[in-house]
Amino acid sequence: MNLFVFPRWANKTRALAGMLLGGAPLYLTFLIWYGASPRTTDVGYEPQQPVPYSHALHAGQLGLDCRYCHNTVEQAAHAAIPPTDTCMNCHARVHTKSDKLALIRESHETNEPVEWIKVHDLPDYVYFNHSAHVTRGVGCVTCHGRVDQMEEVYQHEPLSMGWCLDCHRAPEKNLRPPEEVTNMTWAPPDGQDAFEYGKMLREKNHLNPPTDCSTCHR
Amino acid sequence: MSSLKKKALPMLAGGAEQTAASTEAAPQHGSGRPRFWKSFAELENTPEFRASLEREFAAPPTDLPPDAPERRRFVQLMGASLGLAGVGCHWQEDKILPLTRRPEGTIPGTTKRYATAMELDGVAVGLHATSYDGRPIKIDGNPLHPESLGGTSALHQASVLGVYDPDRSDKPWKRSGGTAAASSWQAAAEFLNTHFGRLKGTRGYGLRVLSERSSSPTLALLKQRFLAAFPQARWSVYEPTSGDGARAGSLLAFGKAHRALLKPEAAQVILTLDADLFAPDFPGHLALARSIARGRSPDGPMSRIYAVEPMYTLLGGVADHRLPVRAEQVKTIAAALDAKVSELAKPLAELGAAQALPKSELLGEASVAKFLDALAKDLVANSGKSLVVAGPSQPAEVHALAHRLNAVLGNVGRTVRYVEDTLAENDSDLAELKQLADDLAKDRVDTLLVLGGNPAYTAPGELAFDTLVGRAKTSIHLSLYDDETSQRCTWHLNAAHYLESWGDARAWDGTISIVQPLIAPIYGGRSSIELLALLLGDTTKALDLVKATHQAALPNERAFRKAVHDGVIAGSAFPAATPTLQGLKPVTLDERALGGKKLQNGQLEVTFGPCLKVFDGRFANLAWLQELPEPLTKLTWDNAALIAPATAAELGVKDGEACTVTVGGKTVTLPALWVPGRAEGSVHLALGYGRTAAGQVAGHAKSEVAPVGANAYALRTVAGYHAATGGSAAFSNADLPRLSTTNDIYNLDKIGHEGAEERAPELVREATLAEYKKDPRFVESREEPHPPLLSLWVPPVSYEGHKWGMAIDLNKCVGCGSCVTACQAENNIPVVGKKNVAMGREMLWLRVDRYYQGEPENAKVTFQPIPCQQCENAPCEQVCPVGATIHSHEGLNDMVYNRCIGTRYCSNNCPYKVRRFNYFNYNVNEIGITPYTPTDDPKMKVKSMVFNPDVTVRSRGVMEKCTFCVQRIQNAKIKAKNVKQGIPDGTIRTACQDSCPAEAIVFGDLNDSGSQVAAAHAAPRAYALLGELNNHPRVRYLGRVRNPNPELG
Repeated sequence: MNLFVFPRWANKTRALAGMLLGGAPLYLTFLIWYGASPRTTDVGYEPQQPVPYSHALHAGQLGLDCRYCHNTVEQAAHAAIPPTDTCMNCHARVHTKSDKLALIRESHETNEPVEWIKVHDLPDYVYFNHSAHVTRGVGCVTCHGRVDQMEEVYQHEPLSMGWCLDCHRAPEKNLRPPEEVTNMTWAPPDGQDAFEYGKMLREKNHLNPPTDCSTCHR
Repeated sequence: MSSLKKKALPMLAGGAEQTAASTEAAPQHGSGRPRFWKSFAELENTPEFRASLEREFAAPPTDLPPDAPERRRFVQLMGASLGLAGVGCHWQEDKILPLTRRPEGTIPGTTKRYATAMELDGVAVGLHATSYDGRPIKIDGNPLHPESLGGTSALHQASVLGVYDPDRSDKPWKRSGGTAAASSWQAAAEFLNTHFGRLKGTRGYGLRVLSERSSSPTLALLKQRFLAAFPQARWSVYEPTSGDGARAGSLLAFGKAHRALLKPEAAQVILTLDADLFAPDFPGHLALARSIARGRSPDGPMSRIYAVEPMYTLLGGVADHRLPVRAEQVKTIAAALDAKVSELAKPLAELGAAQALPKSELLGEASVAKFLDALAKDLVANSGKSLVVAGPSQPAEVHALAHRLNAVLGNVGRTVRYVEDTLAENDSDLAELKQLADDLAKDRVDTLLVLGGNPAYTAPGELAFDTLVGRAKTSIHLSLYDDETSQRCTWHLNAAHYLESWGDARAWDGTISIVQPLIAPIYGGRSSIELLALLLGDTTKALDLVKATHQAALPNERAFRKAVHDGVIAGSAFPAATPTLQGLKPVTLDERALGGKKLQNGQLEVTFGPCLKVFDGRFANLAWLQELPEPLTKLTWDNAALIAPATAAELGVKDGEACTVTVGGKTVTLPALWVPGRAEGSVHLALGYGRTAAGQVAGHAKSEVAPVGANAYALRTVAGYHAATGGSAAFSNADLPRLSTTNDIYNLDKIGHEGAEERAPELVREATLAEYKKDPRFVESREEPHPPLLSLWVPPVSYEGHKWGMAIDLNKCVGCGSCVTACQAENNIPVVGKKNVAMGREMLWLRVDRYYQGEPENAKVTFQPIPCQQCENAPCEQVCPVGATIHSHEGLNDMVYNRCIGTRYCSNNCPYKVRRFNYFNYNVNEIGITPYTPTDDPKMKVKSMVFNPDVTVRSRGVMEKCTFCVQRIQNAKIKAKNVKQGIPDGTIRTACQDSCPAEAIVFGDLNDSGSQVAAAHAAPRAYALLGELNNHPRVRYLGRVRNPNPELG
């Protein structure tokens, strides 16, 4: 049996080989840590919707409150996508012949739902409850970004478990009075520090976000 | 009786080994430590049992067919997930499909409860059905309904699965000359209009209707109209479980048919004569369970229950004294009792002459005589506070005697009251069925209309109804499944489930419930009401028919909606009646009834009764019920010949081995099971098994799915309907798959088993009422001395805020298993099939352990439901390598499925063995795929609609366990905080607590000083299971207290 002997030219490549062998695990770790993290894969997710609904127009320009359409957000876990009838509340009279609204009108006539693509999609084993957050003073903008400036909705925050826990462990950063949850441009009054103001709100409203597993995983 | 050596564990005995070889039988209760045992294999210490102890893991049963695709019977449930991750960095896109028109007030993604009712054997039980996004997912009891009072049975819990059963018939079928052609309701309606139009001309000559028993007022009105339109037609009612005995008995006693409404909580002494008050075929069984449980509190006046019965029933488990006698000898006992009670009580002459004391070999036995004497004395001493009940399978004379005894003892108006039975004509009538069979045989039937039921399967085998159904020129069957009867009819019409139909039904006391649908008929089926209306040429919708029926009581829309909302029509119960007892003739007792206990082979009694799970077979295809361990025998996926050990030994029938049972020349081969406390000379066969056209779960001959269990209907005769004589049983060499019971699968190894035997009196702590009164803290004295329980944390962990706990009262639990099925429904627990159950892999989060105690001839039974104990110092939490099970700040042991990697160390460490592992992808059809139902069959997707969306559907490789219904807890907390309110005691009810008819399970916040659970934990009877392991479980058990008659000991 012959022993394997490296060819002589391999001597010149020893340094490079060593660097590669040592660097490869680091590189792989870095690649997966950052490449597969929700900050990379999920932030910026902007699926194309069947109907080109513009939040920038409706929520921003026209000033519709988030809860006009997503009206279950204070009572239920899901902030429901509005039924076609909500759109037809206005669009039975406004832009009645617009091409962009063709699918809406079709849905209204045929009673088939519009197939929206879910943007903020959490895994099935996560049970997030909107009402618990919205009624306590976590603003829409905190998790969803400036939706009132989005032509097409994209995911602004990673919505990873670590990101959720960051707030649950220190909610002061993200609190506002419950009346102001839909105000996209809210800032603490009189230029107070957001953290301090949040601390005051936390005291006042007895907020104690749990970090137990069963809070979200059932 | 084999002798059993009891060896002290080497550790506890301090080194010295003591062998106490005892040639006596197991020690009696009360003298020293009582002996608990779970099965005969354990009691006899058979070689197989010893071998099973040596094996660490259960071996896969080799006698079951291999998991080849075409033989698999496990039910698969398609996951609702949208498949694997697709290409790209983001996972596969998810769609949101909102309603186009959202009804006012609905919030999608939340649940709503609606009241409805389920009718079984002509008696309605009011229910609350939870609807999620327009489909029913869970059933609970209706607290306003007199039959339910908030509780349900396992049958009701599993009924929701029937809506989505893939084997449900989805269209009408037309059959002729052996070929079947799919059809439609349109075609069927055309045919029916023509056919019945012609029949109108002949005034219904040759038309026969066979229906299920129904108390529906709307159906009654339609029946009247039908018989008016077809005067020559004949309408018969047949239910395989109800007997003519109760009605005939009240006729004998009162001259007119009456119903007895029982109030056991007012009784101090209760005697049942072959009556399982907790079985689904006893009217009012849920309310009775509650009532009896309330009367069994050892702190109040505790009742004493005597049970005289052939079969070991749930009520027999609760009873303080039991007398096993054959079903045909219950009459003798009743007559003897009448003689003795009348002698002591000296009743008024108007009540007629008492029975003469029969000269019977049975009564000559010392123990029986003593029992009857003590019983008679006890009954008379508690006149006005006693109750005598006869079971539905007993003949008229026994019922009449029960009525007489209640009258003599002055119980009428106190523990029992009567209403006139105006629905008596709707009772099942065997004579009518026999007449129909006769007519069919003689070709006198032109058209046979079968509304529901399954007479080809459920008629007594003697009548050979399955061959006769096809004799009618035209036969039409309306049913949920294309079952045995439908396959022999010319037309099969698919029925609507009760959760899909409008209707009405009456409770036993007459209270009317409106049955409202939770979902539109998925397969376009129709209810009996709608079919009858169609046949009458009436196009009125079912809702309007129901409204019209109740026009008088509910004159306007508002009143109707209130009745639908409540689930009951207030004040619609039957008016009270005070019937006068007529004198009874002497009871006819033949030599069998007067004989002794022993019977020769060939003379045995064979009793038939509905299975507590699948009832008469109509629920056989509901996998949840097949998998539910039968309360007493802990049998799954099978039925067995239930036989007393003494009789079995004489006949050479071995426990768990195949045997043949023969009655009247017909034979059935099935495994035998020894049941302690069973009457000698009697073999019991549960009905509802051996089906050949039920579906993929219970048996389907055409797709080569073997039937579950053996068909006992084949042996049934008209004469011996409930109890046949002249039966014989013999050992059989038939190679049958062995029984899958959940008794012995938790036996670990030899030392572990010896330890468990030693510990059993600590696990189930019992005392008599006298002992309890002397020492209310008797549970503490049952504990073995152990070292002081120290804590690693000083100061110990405190739980401010919520502190969830549970208490289970062993005195109230009747072992019905309703909690087990409720948990399965609420938490998306999969079904694993017979083979995996035999290997100990059943997935039920809650198990009800059943312990026998004492002699096999008449053992006592105790039930103990065991959920996850949510230990504060949990052994499972400490060993999880990935932190998938963590303790929450409220004391719950959280299970995080996505973190679990399937080490199974937690289950290994759990002393209660309450953790269940998903060995396969049970919920996503990895096993159990049959060619008949391919995986992408849309009907399998329909089945996934029964899932509770609030609970994760677990995949393979993940551990799961009871979570104290954490989804309910969290939802309640969020709701309360949203409106800034607290959570009063009773807001959060776990699924098991909700369904328990006896209110045995209590859940709540231990930090709420006024809560029921805090009171239960502080009760002197409360003890922790295996508390000496220092794991601080949050579940407390309240020790069992029995109330034996001091004379009987």
